[in-house]
Amino acid sequence: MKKIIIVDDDFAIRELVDTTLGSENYNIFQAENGEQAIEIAKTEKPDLIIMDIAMPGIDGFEATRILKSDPETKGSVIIILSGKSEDVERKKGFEVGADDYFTKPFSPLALIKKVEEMIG
Amino acid sequence: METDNFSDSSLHNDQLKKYAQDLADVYKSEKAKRKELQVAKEQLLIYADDLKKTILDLKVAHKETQEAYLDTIFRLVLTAEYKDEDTGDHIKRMSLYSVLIAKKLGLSDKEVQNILYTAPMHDVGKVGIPDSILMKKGKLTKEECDIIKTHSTIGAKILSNSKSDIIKTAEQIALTHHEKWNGKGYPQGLSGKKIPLVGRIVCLADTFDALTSKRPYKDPYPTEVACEIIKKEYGEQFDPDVADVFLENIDEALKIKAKVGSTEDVSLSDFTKSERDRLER
Repeated sequence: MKKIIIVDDDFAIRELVDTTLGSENYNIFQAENGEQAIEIAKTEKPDLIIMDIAMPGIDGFEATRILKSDPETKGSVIIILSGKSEDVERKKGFEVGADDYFTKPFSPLALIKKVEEMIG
Repeated sequence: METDNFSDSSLHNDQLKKYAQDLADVYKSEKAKRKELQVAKEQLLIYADDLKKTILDLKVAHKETQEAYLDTIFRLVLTAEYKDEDTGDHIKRMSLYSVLIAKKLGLSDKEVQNILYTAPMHDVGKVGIPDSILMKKGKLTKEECDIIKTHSTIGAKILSNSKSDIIKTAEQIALTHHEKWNGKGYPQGLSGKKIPLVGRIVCLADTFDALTSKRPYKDPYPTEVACEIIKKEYGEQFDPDVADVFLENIDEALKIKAKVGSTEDVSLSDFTKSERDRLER
């Protein structure tokens, strides 16, 4: 089963994404900030990370940059799931190494489709 | 803590709307699919119904064709028989006797049915025999007798080279129904089980009906006399098994005889065996 880490400081969003993707389809881990995400990524080597941006401590951009520059973790696909929809933010996301960029509120069907497309 | 321009609760509300929208979309598309499936199902049911009707029609048509086929055979055979008899009763009786024997010998339904269809054709070769000989009253010369005997090969020739299993059986019967168990029959002088079973069955059925029927050259023999002749020819003209089965079931044979046409009742005392029977049998 493919592994996914959902990174978001909002518990409700983590649960929502978790339920949407389905534990019967994926082995899902949750992290509530950048530090936790990096820690889990190192041990679990996930296929995909869904990354929020605005989080206390290491934010999503920074966490993505760290993960994508570490040979141990750069193999994971990273989709940024951000409340910020401005082009500037989107551009920054790709600059730090994200593979795709989704904005909140997101369409659950579109997210399912995207995940299947990336690691299906 | 989110630092963008959405508060947590307004983000959650908007996200909830997205879910509701997707759910509505999924519901709509499922409903459309269900409708499509329902339409497809109804279409299939209509097809199934049509198919059922077609099969029933075909069955009826098949039965009609089969009946027409049997009727045609019977009428064609009657043209060959018409000179000796005009009712076709002999053909009916000898076919039913043949079926009785076949059934009692344990032949399959299919084989029994084949015999019912083909036994009537055993004498079609008579069309090739001149009327002057066929309808002659009284004794036949040796030459006339030889000419009459050719009806078996003529019949087989008429029925030869057919692709139909039924006609192939008819050919066998036409050719071999005058063969004798002891090898003294015609045209090939086959003996014992070298004579096809259908030939042995029809031989007895045909002979029994000939003996118990009125012919231009003779009166009908009483059943007792006919049975006596069969017993005498046991292992000579007739296959012992076929003769056994027939004599064991003579009551059923007599029921057939009573049902199909009728021959005047004659007593044992007032009949004389015809010259021709003595020569032929």
